[in-house]
Amino acid sequence: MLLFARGSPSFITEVRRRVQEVRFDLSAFGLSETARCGARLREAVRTTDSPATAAQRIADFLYDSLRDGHDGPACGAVGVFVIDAPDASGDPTGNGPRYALEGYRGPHPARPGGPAGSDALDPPALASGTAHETPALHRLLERLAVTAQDAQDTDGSAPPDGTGPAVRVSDLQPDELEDALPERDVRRALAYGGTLSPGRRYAVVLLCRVPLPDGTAALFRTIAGSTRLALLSGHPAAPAVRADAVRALLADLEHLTGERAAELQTVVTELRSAATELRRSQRELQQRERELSEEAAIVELLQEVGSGLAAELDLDALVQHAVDAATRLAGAAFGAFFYNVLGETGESYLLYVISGVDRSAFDKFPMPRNTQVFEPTFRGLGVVRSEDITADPRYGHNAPHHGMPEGHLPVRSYLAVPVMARGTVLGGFFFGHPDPGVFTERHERLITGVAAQTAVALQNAQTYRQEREAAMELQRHLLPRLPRVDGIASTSRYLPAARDRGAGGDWVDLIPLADGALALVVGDAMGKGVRAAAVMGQIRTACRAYAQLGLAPAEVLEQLSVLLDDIAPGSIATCVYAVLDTRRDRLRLAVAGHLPPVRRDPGGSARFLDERVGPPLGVGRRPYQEQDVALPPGSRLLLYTDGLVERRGRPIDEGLRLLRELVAGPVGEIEADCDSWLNALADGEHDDDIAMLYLHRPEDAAQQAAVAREYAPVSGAVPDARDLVSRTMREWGLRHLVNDMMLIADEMVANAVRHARTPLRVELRRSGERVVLEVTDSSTEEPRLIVSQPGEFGHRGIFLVDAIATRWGTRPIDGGKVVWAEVKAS
Amino acid sequence: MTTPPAPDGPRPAAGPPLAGPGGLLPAGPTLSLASHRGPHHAIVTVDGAIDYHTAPQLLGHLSTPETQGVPLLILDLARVDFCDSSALGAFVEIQRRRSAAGHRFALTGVQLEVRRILELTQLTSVLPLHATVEEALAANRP
Repeated sequence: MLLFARGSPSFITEVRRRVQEVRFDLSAFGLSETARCGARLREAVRTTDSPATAAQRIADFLYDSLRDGHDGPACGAVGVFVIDAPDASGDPTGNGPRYALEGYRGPHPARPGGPAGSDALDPPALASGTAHETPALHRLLERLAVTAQDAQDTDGSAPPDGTGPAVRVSDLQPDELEDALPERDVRRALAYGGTLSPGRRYAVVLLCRVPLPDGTAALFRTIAGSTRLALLSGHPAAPAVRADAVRALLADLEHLTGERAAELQTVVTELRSAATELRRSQRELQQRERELSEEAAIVELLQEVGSGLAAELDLDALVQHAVDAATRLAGAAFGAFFYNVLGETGESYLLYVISGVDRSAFDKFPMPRNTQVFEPTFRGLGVVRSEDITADPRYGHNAPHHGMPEGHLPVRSYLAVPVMARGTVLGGFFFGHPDPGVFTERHERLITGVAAQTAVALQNAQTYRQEREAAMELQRHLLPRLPRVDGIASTSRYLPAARDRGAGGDWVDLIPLADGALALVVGDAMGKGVRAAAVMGQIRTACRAYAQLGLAPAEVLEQLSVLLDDIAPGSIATCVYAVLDTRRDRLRLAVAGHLPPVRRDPGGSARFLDERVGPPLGVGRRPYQEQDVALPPGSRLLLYTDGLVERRGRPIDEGLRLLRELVAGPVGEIEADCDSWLNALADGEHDDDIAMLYLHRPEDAAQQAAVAREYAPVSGAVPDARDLVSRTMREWGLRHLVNDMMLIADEMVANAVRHARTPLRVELRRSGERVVLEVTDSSTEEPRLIVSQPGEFGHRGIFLVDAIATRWGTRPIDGGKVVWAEVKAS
Repeated sequence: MTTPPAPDGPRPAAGPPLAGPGGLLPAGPTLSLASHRGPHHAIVTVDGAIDYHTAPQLLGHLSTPETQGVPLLILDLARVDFCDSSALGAFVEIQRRRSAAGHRFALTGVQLEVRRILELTQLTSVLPLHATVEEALAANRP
């Protein structure tokens, strides 16, 4: 780009050059081009003194300034004609009006005044002449009707009064100037014309090389007006004519501008409405997008929660997991899940879990009832979602609280969703928030989804529990209760794996022998399920037979190994077989690939009996070696399977070390010892079955005593059992423990009568300064410790036992359970 | 249920008959209940052990319209040497019913063993306890 100093001659020249070099792209001719082009046109002829000069300047101007899209000339030729109308008397020549080509620009020099075709070798594109002399030109101009006196508009280019100039745009027909075309690419004609002055008309023909946009004709009406004025400037026309031309031009300009403005207005309006439409579409699109991503998020969340719930088979963990997830998804301050469980005798209990706040925030309130607010949920009638439950018409109608009880956490936003399966209400989710308007439709949908998945998971857990109970039932039948032996306190445990349905192959046995000795057995048939259980049953039966034959421990194991090869080739089992001779205070044992028993001597030190461990059973006839160890009164002996010491994430050596520490630690009543060791080592997380056989040889048999009585499940059993305990304790010289033991017996028997409703057995055992009360019933439902609030009725029984007893617990047995409590003197 | 093996310890020489199949337990002990009516109060003296077996008897005795309508009810436990959780439940229930009806309630003469259970269950702060009937009357003078 050239730079010029302001005010310098070259700057001024440049500006002038730019102003004079006016160029308009005819292929993109618009309103602004029209106005500027007209003004330039009039300017271009300002200093002319004759009509002919003016016409030539007009032709030059149009030829030079109208360009194509690439700055080439838009026109192949431009001609400016002046037509003198025939006299009123008629046409003197008979050829109609003669067209005088006053101005011309084109490829061939024009010969103004000369007839067309006079130089056959070099024909001008446009020439003067009559219809006879220049027939092609006349045909074109007639067709375009720009010279007719009453040229009527047909394409909207005429002014309102119908008397102004006419403008036509048309593709050229084959017979119109076809041979005279200056260049082959000229295909269109733009022609305009009208009255110049009374009796004279003018016409301008532009032979164009460019396509002309729609509306060009209308735009050229003002060019036509300017052309007329320009022609008149070199013409001695009367001022009236000039004034008329100016008025006409102004009217055309006004008309055109107005038209264009209206068009623009329409376009603007259309654009606006299009923009509005676009915005609306965009909003809709965004809304839809939000909905979709919301949808995706909901599905994702639900899948996450669902897979978590589906994996949970333990009912307590399941409901807590469900209420935690749902409370989080609902954005609630706290949530609760109420669910029904079926008790042993068919009655249903309503239980609940809480999330978001401590359970103690609700413990002081009674269970909710079917108030108007709760009823839809408890009866499974549908979801209740309230922006503000305190403003809900259903709120506050039911006695005694008429709303939330005093001290209840504040709730405004409320959402409750029933959990249903096949038309049965399994439970209900309840959510609260102290602010109003927290729970949205989205929350409702999410929680409804969680409720559906919870329903499925609850049913799964139920099915699982039933299967597991069936497996345990099978196991119980395979492991009948061990007999009691004089002078020996013994107990056993069998716990199936915490997360496994199949019955295992673990077993223990205690077999009184003919000579007053006692055989002790623990074993583990490898594998799970019915096959392992069947193998175990056969080994156990065979073992009992060999024991009765009086075989030595090593012989028993050898025979069992052969037998196992026989009945289940390829099967493996481990086993400990021991014989306790109470008269000699000796224990003889042989071990077949099993974890060694632990012995605690009267001094309290514990050791594993792990010398001479032989191969497991099932590898053919193998000789086994025996150990012979002392087991005097005051000793304890524990036989167990690997489930007790094995735990995921803990080496078995660590488990064995812990076990020896426990056995060497403080011990007491054998049932209590078993339970506390199980808690310490397995804590309900054992991956394998656990079997235990535990013996105690009391030091002073005289300090050992027991009484037992059986009762029907009637209330009269309670005072009678209390009376039995009171008298027995006095007989035993344990007067100082009478009150505690009476209360414990009272509560435990009352509990069994109230809940188990099966025949029950009360047994009171003494071992030195230690007394154990056992109540056996036929219900497998275990008592739970519930802390009652002072103002509440009930639930204090087990609480009192817990407060008074040194230790207490329960253990399942074949066809029922034992609840026991120990009280220690001193 | 399988029959448990016989216990190896000695059985008590005497005692009520066992409840075998088809057998019946004796009805069991009952409470002695004596009521004394004053102008605005009733004193019910209990004699015996209040437990799971006898608590219904006590509740039934106190549910008569005359007893329920009296402005002040005094339950004298001076001759009660044993209470279990059922007794506590009964006391709490009586207290709740009476205060709901706008009536008062008092326990008197609570023995040491019974007081220990009330304390263990934190009911001493809930139930109105008085040493004697006279004190209860004085404290509740209309």
